[in-house]
This record gives sequence, C-alpha cells and structure tokens, in this order.
Amino acid sequence: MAEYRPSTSWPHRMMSFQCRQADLNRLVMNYLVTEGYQEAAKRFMTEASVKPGPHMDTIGDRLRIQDAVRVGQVKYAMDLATRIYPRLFETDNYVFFHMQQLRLIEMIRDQKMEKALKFAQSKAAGFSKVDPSHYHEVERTMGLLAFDRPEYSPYGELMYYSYRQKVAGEMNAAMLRCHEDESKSKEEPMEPRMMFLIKLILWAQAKLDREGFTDYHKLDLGHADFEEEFRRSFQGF
Amino acid sequence: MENVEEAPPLSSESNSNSNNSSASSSSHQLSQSGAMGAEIAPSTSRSHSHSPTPSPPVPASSHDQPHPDHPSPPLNASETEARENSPHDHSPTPTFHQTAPPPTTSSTAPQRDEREQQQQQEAPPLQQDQQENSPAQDQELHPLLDQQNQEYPAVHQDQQAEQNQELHHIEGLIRHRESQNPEEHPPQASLENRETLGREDTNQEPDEPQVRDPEIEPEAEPPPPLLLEDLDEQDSGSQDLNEQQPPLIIDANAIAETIDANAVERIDDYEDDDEEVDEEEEVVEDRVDRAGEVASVSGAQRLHSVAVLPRYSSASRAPRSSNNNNNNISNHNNNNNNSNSNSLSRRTRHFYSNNGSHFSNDMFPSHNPRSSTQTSSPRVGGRRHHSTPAASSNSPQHQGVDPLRLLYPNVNESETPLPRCWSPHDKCLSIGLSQNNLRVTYKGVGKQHSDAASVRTAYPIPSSCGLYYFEVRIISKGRNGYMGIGLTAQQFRMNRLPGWDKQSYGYHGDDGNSFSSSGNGQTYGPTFTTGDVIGCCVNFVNNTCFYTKNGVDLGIAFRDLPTKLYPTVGLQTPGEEVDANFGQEPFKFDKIVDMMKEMRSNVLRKIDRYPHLLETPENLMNRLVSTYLVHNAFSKTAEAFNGYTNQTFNEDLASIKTRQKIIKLILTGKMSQAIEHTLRSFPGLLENNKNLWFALKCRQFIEMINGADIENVNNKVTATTQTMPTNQTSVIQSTKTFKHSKSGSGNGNVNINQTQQQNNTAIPAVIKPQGGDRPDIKNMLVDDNSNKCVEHDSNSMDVEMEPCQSHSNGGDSSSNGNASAVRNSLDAIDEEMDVDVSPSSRNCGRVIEKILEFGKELSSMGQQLEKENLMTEEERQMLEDAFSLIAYSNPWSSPLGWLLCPSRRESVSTTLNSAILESLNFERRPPLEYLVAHASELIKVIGQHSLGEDAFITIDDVFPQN
Repeated sequence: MAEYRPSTSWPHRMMSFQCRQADLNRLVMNYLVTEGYQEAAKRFMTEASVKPGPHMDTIGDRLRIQDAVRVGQVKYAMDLATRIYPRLFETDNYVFFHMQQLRLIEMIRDQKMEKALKFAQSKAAGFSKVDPSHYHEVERTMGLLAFDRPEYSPYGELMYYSYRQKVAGEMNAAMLRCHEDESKSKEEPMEPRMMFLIKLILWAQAKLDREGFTDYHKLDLGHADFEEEFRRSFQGF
Repeated sequence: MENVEEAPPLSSESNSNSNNSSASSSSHQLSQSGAMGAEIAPSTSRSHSHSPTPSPPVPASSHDQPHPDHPSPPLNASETEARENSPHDHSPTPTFHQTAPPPTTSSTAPQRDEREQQQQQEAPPLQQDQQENSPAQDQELHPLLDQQNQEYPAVHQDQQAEQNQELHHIEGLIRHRESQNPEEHPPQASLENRETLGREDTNQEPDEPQVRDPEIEPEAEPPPPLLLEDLDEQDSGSQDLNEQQPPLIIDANAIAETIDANAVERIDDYEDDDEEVDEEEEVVEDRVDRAGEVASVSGAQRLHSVAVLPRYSSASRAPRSSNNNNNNISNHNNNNNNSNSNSLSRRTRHFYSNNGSHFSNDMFPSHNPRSSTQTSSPRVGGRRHHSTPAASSNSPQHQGVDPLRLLYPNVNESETPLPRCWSPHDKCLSIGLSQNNLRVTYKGVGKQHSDAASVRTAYPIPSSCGLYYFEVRIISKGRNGYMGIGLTAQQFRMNRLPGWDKQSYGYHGDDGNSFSSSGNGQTYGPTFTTGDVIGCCVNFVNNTCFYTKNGVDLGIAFRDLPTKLYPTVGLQTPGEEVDANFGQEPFKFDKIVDMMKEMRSNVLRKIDRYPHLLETPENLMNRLVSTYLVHNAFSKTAEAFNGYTNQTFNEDLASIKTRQKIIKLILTGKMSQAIEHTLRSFPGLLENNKNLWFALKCRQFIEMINGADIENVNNKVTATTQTMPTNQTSVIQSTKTFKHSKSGSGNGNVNINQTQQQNNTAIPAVIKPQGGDRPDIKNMLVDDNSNKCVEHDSNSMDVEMEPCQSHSNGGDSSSNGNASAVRNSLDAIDEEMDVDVSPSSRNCGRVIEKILEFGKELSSMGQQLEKENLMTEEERQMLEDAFSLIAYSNPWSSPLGWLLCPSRRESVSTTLNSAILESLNFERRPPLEYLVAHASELIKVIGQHSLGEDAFITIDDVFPQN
C-alpha cells in the first residue's frame, strides 16, 4: 500500500484553510479574560463585538493580584488574595509554596540577606513543612544566598522577570479554580484555549513523528523568534 | 369411428394445402381488422366467400356435412364449463355471445378456419392418442374447445398490438439467424440455449414427468414446416406472410401452458413436502439435458427470447440493440398470455412473478436467478409474501437523517465510504443476498470444509470511525450452525469462514471459539444459534476487537489488528440465514455511543495534559494575540494589551487606525467612502490591483441597490408612510409612472389625477415636509465631496423631527425596496401639484440614473479586465449576480437576496485588509490563523495514516463554546 502523498504543498494547504473570524475572536477573548487583561478585554468587547464569556466578573481582582506579583510585591499580593479567596492557600499548597519562594527571592534581590535568612528559617515561611518533592527548589533558592551577585549564579534564572510571570500565571489559575469550586460548576481547564491549540499541535506532531511519518511540516513552537519561524514556514507564498 | 375416418383426410389436407390454410388465415385476420369500423355480418360474408375458393370441391362437401351437427354441442358444453370453473370465464363468454346472433352460416365460417389450424398442429399427438384410452381423448378435447372460445376475443382485442410486436419479433428472428452464421456465435448460442432451457424448466418445476412426454415430441416434429415458412418469408418479404407467425407461436404456447396449468393444479392439491420438490427439480434437470439435444427452431426462438433477460439485465455486460428487441418480444408473449383463460392467467402470473423476481436481482451475477428461484416457494402467494419484507426494509433509508453519519461524524465518506450492506460482488457463489443486501442465506451443499461460503462488505472500515461496530442476527442456524462472524482483509478467499485464513478473524457459533488467521480456534465465548444477536466491535485506537452476544460484552478477542478490514460473515450448512445491522437500526448493544464519548474525552484530556515543554508559553501566546489584534485593526485593544505585556508595534499606530476605519466603512456598507479612503491613504494600491478594485466596485453596486435606497428614502419615509401607506408598486412600474408623468401622456394624467383625488385630505402634511427638504436637496445636488454623508445624516434627522411635532404616531423607518417605489410615486404627484418641478424631478431621476450610470461604468471596467485577461470566472459570476438584482422589485427576498446580507461584507473587508497589509510588507494572515490551519491539517494527516485518534477531535474543539 502506497504512502499517502499530499496533492499540494503544505503552505498552500495552510492558505486554502478558511477560518471563521468569529471563532478566532472568541479564542482571543478567552485568552484575555482567562489571563486577566481586563482593559484589553473590555475594549475588545467593543471593537470586535465579542461576548466576554465566564470569569469576566473576577477579572479585576485577578488582574491586580497578578500585577502585584509581576512587580515583586509578593506580600501585598498574598494579603489581597487571602482577603478575596480566604481558602485559596489552604487548598493549594503548591501555589503557596511558590509565593513564599518568590518573597524570599525578592528579599535577596533587595540585598537584604539577614532579613531573607530570618524569613527562610521562620516558622511562618513554612519551608520546614515543604513537601519532599520541593526540597530541590528550596535548596536552589537558598543557594542564592551564597553568591555576591546571585543573578549571575547557576540559579540565576529564579531572579528573572519570566519567573515572576510564571508564578503570576500559577496564581491566576489557582484563583480561577477557587472560583470554580465556589460556583460548583463542572470542572473546565484553567488554561486558555489557546494553550490547548498549542498542545494539540505539539501532540499531533510528536505522534506523527513517533510513527515515522514525514509527510507534514513540523512547526517549531519553541523557536525564539516566533514570527521569523512563521515566515520561514509559510514563505511559499 | 367418425373421428377415425376424419383423421386421415385432415392430415393429408394439411400436408398438401399448408399454403392455402395460411392464405385463409391471413384473409381471416384482414377481415377482422376491417371489422373495426364496419358491421360484423358483411365482413363475415366476405371471409365466407374467400374460404371455399381455394379448397377442392370434394373436401369442402365432406366438411359441410358434419358441421351442422358438431357446432351446437360444443357451444353448450363450453358455456357450462365456463360457469362451473370460475367467474373469470364469464369475461370472454359475453363477447362470444355478441357474435352469436348473426346467421348460423356466417358464424360457422370463422370456426372452420380456427379448427383447421388447430387440427393441423395437433395431427401428430392425435395419432399417438389413438393408441391410448378414449378418456384421454375426451380430456384433451375439452381444453381445446375452451381455447377456441377464448382465442376469438383475444385476437380481436390485441389485434393492433400484435401487429406492432410482430415486426419486432421478426427483426429479432432475423438478427438471431445472422448471429448464428459466424463461427464465433455458435458457442454462445449453445450456452444461451442451455441457460434458457434451465430457466424455462425451472419455471415449470411443478409439472409431472408424465405430461412432459407428449410436449417434447411435438417440438421435434414441427421444425420442417416452420423452416419452410421462414424461407418463404425471406423470399416474399410480404407483411401477410409475417402476420402468420404470431398465431402459430401463440397457439403452441397456449397449448403447452394449458397442459402445464392442469399439472400445476394437480400438484398443488397433493404436494407439501420439500423433499418431493427437490426430486422434481432433479427430474427437471434431466429434462433440460434431453431438451437441449433437440434443435428445434421454434424452441430456439422461445428460449432465445427468455435468455435475453439475464444478459440484458446484468450490469457487467453492455446492452446490445438486439437485446432490446428480444426484450420487447418477451413482453409481447406476456401480453398475449395475460389475455388467455383463467388457468393460463394463473400460469402467466407464475411466469411474471419469476420475471419480477429476476429483475429485482439485477445486482446479482447471472447465475443467481436460478438458485434464488430454486429456494423460493412454488406457489405464487408465497412469492408475493416474500417481496413484502424487502419493501419494508426500504423505509429506514428514506429517513431524513443518516444514522451512520451521526454515529461516525468524522468520517469523510467521499474518501473512505462506510460499509452499509453486503457486497454482491464480494461473496461466494453459494451465498444468496436479499432485503437490500442485508440478509445472507446459504445455498450450498455443506458437506465439506471447502463448501464454506463467506460474504463481506464493499468497503473496509474507515479508521476515522475510531470505534466501529456492527451486529448480525441469526435468523436460522440451519443444519449444523457452522457460522463465523468477523473481519477479513482484501485478499480473503470467499470459500472459507472468517478467521481460518491469514489476515482474517472470526468468532464461530458452533463452538464459541475465536479464530485468528488460523484453523485452530481459541476458547473465547459462548456458542450462538438461532435468534442470537452477535456484535463485532473494532477499536482503531488500540487495534483491538471484541464481540457481544445479545448485548453483552464478551471481552477482547483479537489484538494487534491490521487496518483495512472488511466486516464479513461466513456460513457452511444448508438453511443457515443471518441478518446484518451496520447502524441503520438501533444496536442490541447500546453502549457504543457512550464508549465513543469516553474515548473522545480521553483524547481531549490527553492533549490537555500534554507537556508543552516550552520555557515561556505565555510569551508565545501574547505574541499570537498581539499580532492578531494588530492584523485586524483592533487598535484600542492592541494598545491596552501591548501596554500590559510590554510588546511593541511593528506597524504605525496611525496606519492601524486608518485600516480600522476602512474596515468599519465596509462593514457598514459605505463602499464609496471606503474606496475613497483607500485611494487617499494607500495610493497606488488599487491602481496596481485592478481585480481588487473591480471587486470593491461590484460590492459598491450592490450597496447602492441596498444602501442607496436607505439613504434617499430617509427624506420621505415618514411622510409617505403616513400619507400613502398602502401604495405599493414595483420599481419597474414606478419607473413607468415617472416616465408617463414626464411625457405628459393622457394615461399618465389620468392615473395621477386618480391618485391626487385619493389624497386630497393629506395635502397639508405632504407640503410641510417638502418645505423642509428643498434646501437640503439643493445642497445635495451641488456637493460632491466626502461631507455628503454628514449632510445626509443631518437632513434625515431634520425630517424625522418635523413629523413628531405634527403627528403623534412618531417616525417610521423602512428598509424595504418598495419604499423607493413609493417615494418615486410621491415625486410624480409632486410634479403635478407644484409649478416648480425641477428639484423633485432631478432628485428622483438622479437616484435611478446614478445606479444605471454606475452599472455602465462597472461593465466597462469588467470589459477592460477581459481584454487584459485579468477577469476570473468568480469575478464574472459576481458581476452577473450584481446586475441581476435590478430585475427584482424586492431584491431582499429574491433568489440573490443573500448578496445583500451584512455577512457578505466581511469577506470584502478581509480581502482589502490583507491587500493593504501586503502592500506594507506585512503578513497577509496573522500567525494565530496559521496555527489553526496547521492544527487542522495535522489532524487530517493523522486520519490519512489510520492512527484512529482523528475520530475524536476536530479543529472546533480548540475554540471556546459560545
């Protein structure tokens, strides 16, 4: 049995695919609301005539907390979250641990080593009761104290802006789950649907690659410059 | 003793005077045809005058003597028998009585002719019958007499039809001879004769062997006279000679079928066992062999006409012209038979039922009719009952929704069709199919393993089903219940049970074992027999198969299944019969849908939890959103989002806002302004892309028919609605009225006067709005810049305010095309009422003239593109559709009303937006759109490689629900 041979090139098949703009608008709105971009979501409602969907009501609070995390005001973010979602940190130890870790990192960034050491050893920080699977993360974080310039140490990525972004995302997802528990609605994925699209592509490409098929174009979503990758992939036109 | 004395003279006369009797026969028919429009008596006397002329004086005198005594007793006897037999016999009798009243001499004339014909044909059997008992003679005489009475009305009624069909019959004969001459044809002819003999005898299977003896011998002896007659036909070529053939053949058929009918009646009274029927079939086969040896011309003709049907009806052969004619001949015989006696009609029904059954099996190979006929009931009633289930099984297919499509929504049947029934082309010869090819019956001997017989579907199971299931109900286990249900590959041999050979899998009913490409079975499940429902389920995600029995899951039977498997069922012993359900009916095992839903949620969950292994997926998604917002000119949203996410703009913000404005203008139907903005903001874009410019202008023309009316009607809508709400005229009529008023013709004046009288009381309301409109109208006429729209809006507001002050009804708005017509009609009235008519007149004509002028401009632009070979078929169709809108008085409800839908504007704005971005060296489509297309294509490739998961995921799963 002969292998399947596509009649046209991959870029041509991409171009011939017809998207409905309403579907893409819903996908974008879902991302804006889920990730807490309140102002953008409001404007998008007006400009594109798209309904906000669920979680629009809590977008303001979630946005403030995420913003606080992104700028390093971790204690303020935790206090705010505790007031809005009293049971948040009781039900999600993983997020609580990462928020405490981020507080420690901010102290190190501010060169307050003595304060950081006290916080790490204090009972309130909770590091002594950390799940064993997180010991490695605690060790990496404490290792920062041993360097004069910790941002250039082997564990320096913990002090990058991207790590704040990551923890902010985890916090947002935890708040959404907390909201879901309150409303008792059926569980739905806390990630935006756009992440499902990305995972679908990665899953499908890996499956075809594992079966040994090569009659498709593999898109490198991990490429540093996404738009350059897209231009290279679809330069057939 | 008198009979004995008469026999020799009759035979001698027939031998020596065959031509004379033929001549008298033809004259008889001619006289009857003349009787159509004339009295019976005169034509009868004519025939009487002709008949004695050719005969010698001595034989004539001998005939005259016994006739006066002979006719009267047969008439009485026939009447008595007709009443005793059945009421059907009364139908021919009245016709006979109508001919009786004429003089005795005239009535005996046709009887003589008919009797002479019959005596001529039956001379040999009479001689033989002399050796037998006298009761035999008496039995034969009665049917002959009945036939005399019945033939008379038959000939009379079907005279015209016979003439036409005779011609076809003769043509068939000629071609038959021609086909026999070449060397290549004789072998085919012999094959046809054998097939024909087999089928003919099958039709006559209830006959007793004793009755066969006299029937076969007459066929052997008549050949010489027929051959002579055929030669005469070729030599003379006259129509009279041609007309001689049908009655002879009809008579022979009638006689044979009369005897057969009697035999049928006797057999029906005594036989009920199948074994006896089987024995008779064997006897029939022996007769077939004997009859095949006889090379009679008449037999060949009859057999050939019957043989034509399977050849003509088989799909594998191309129909020939001669087949059509022979088919007509067959119909001719049927028609004649139908018009004969009751016993003959019973026989005819039997024959017709076989024909019907044969045609219903057109999809079968040519050998099927015989086997299906053998198993069918010998009685006509049984056959009729058999056809009923087939009719009822048709009803599911006529339902609106296809249940298989609902079951397997992700299967693209144009590429991989679903199995829906058993395939008549993929089965063993011992298998019979019926009921839309869903029922399977075993027709072999079933004595050895090599007698096994299987059938499969026409198409393999598409892997895009994900989970596939079908059920088989055991109608009868037959003798031993050796049955197998399963799956087979392309090269499976059909004389095996599924599972015995390589790449075949089956679950067998006699021992409950599963067979996986081997004759040695594995213990699997319970046995199954009559009444059980066995289901077979294939899982294309993990390549396994399990069976169900009466709705109970029996567990996995096979693993590591290959792809491209066909549902298959195998039978082996007589009487075995099964029904299939591929999803047309609800399954006994009702968990298939739930299993599919679970598999679907599993696949979605697996993807949802798939590790992306990306360091910063948020950055990727933020970039996708930012580029999407910018691409579609959602400038404010893009500003806010990029501010949050620290992203930069590649395109100038002012440019984004300009594109947004143009898109908004298009989406609201203001094409002229959109084109103007494009020409000003992006110079050279449209000049370098004339096709795009042409497409925009086509849309502008459509919006003029749509939006132009709205803009112009705003001035008058309120006034016209209040003053003339019921005045509705088409655009064409309104135009005519306008022209009439312009020309000042008498008819126009009369119409306007009538309208004026009806609205005298409304004059004050009409005048008031006009006063307010005049300055605005003048401004509109003068101004041609972009401010026109602004003035129009303010003008509309002014008009709406005035009616509110003077009327409590408030303002009404209308987007109906008829509003334009109403406005034109109102303008026509204004022309009559006001001295100064130039503003109204110009305004009215201006709208129509603008549309027509723009149409001309558009048409010339199209012609220019044609010259430069830039016009595409799509654009040509677009132009034609746009122009067609003018033809409708109400274009919104016309067949082309979809052109006026707002959603049509989106594709125009998308095309223009992409062109603008391309001119600025940006991507035509946003990366997010490429990702969606990429994912959709990947799912398709997974399906094309039969990996199974594509059954449970589509690109729509990516988008959030509304």
